Amino acid sequence: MSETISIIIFLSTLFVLLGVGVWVGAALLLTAILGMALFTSAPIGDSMAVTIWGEQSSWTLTALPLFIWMGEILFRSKLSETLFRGLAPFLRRLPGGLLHVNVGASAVFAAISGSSAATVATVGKMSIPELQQRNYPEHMIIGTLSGAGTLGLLIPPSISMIIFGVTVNESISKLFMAAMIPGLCLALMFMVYIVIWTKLNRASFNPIEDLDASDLGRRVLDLAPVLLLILGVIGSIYSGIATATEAAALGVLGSILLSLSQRSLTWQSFTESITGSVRTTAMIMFILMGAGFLSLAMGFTGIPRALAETIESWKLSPLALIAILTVFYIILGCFLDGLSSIVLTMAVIEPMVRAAGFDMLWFGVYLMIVVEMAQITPPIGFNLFVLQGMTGRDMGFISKASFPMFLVMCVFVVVLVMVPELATWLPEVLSK
Amino acid sequence: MRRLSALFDQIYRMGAYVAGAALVLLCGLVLYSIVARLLGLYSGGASDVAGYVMATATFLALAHTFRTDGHIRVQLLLQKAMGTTRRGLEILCLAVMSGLTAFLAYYMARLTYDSYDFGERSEGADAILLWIPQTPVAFGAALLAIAVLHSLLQAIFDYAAIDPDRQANEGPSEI
Repeated sequence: MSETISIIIFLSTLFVLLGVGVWVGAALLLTAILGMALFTSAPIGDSMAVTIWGEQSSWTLTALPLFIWMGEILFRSKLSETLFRGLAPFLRRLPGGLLHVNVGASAVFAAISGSSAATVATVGKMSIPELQQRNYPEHMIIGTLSGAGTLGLLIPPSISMIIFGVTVNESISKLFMAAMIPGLCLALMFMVYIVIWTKLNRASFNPIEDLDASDLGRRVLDLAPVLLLILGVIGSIYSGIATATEAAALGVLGSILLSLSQRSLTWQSFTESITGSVRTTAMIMFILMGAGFLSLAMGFTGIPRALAETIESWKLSPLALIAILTVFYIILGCFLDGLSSIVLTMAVIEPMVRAAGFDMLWFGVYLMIVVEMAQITPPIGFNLFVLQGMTGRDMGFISKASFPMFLVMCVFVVVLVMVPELATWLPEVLSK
Repeated sequence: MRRLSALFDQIYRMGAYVAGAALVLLCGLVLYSIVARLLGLYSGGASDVAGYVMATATFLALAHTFRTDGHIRVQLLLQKAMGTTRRGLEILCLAVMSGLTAFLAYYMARLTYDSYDFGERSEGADAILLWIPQTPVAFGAALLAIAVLHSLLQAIFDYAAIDPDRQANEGPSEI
């Protein structure tokens, strides 16, 4: 009985602290401290210090600041222009025209950046004004952008994927392999949606087509360094030549060279990229400290095991379990940011997912998609905030514009459950 | 008072600069280990050192990140609250955070002292004395505790200086 009361105290502390607005990392650490006090007699402060030191100085995690830095450098380069001008000549002939550039450019940028907010911001910087000038309907510009921005977290490298990998002790290289095909499929589905929408709205959809394609050759040439960078970073991981960290360091070097060749790297933008990255890194690491110690404390509470056993005793089909989890994550995403919901839930859900027999690589891919779905639903959805800042439209309009993309992603989750090989095939082939 | 506060903000910023230097060093170390492997040079322990450098980069930037609103929190309730209620909530959150960061700083310092006391070495190829990389980490944790206390004192005595309704920090950079 007292056990139950302790668990109630433990969990409600977590929710109260988070709800009042205590910084997420601190809320997790405090809850963990309370959990240790309630359920063990271990020395709390010392085990906290050892856990934090061990995690924060681990080699696996070093990929994180480096990939963040790489993204920060590229965000400050002329890449948005390069991508728009390079991809537009190829994609403008498809039904839906330049809307496809939103998806295409997001997919390409996602392959060198690990962040969905950065993807939306970089692609949108160029494509929003260009598409607005050509009379494309506003809700389609915004919707495709916020949806395609989610590819930033799916197509490797991905910051969230590294965090997931570190949290559940899975190989980051393998997670990066697992996410590639699903990422491309989702991009394709977004494009199919644009085509269908265009066919259905042929009467009202008539953008101005004026894009000069005469210097097409040179524009394609501009894309070459970007593609080389992708090949270098992802290729070196997939071929097993480099670990995720080494690929990230090469990526930093490559993006510095790329910006230099574009003449967009100044001393100021270089130092800004560094301060930006240490800031983001510190933010993520503070949450990871809390998450690391919380999962230790969670283990002592017995909650994860009890939950795993309960779910097992229900004898749910995998599809039903995934459906429940999806709803759960979407609701959670209304209150928490994606990163916090990943680390917070994995402390509890990991044993359950493993007990249900899911492949953790597959689950990682699934988790990225549902977390991203939460990021484009109001009231808290970061892609929405970024677009709000860029277009000045209100939240309601932007969330409504993004809703079809949300549905496309729902469909994709079903596809992923039906065809798990989308995620598991590539890692199997490549690790042979 | 405000001048003293600005001085401390400078110190936090210096921490972030050192963290930035550590990030560059981290990248250099990893690149070195790649080159070393290709050329068959010695690079033993480079991965351990990379981990320590990362820990330094993280901890020294915590305080500056905190002072520039870079850490994530759930804003739903805070944004609804106005005026005095908001101030009360902020003070509550800061007091809680203050207690926690002081606790963290104390135990990170103790970890470092224990490593020093027992002469602990890392298990990797380099066998570095662990207190050396742990010192900047403990220092960063202490800096964070000071920064939070700083904000708490401002919230109590000089709320105008950190009033979120009038602040223009860029906020957390979501991924």
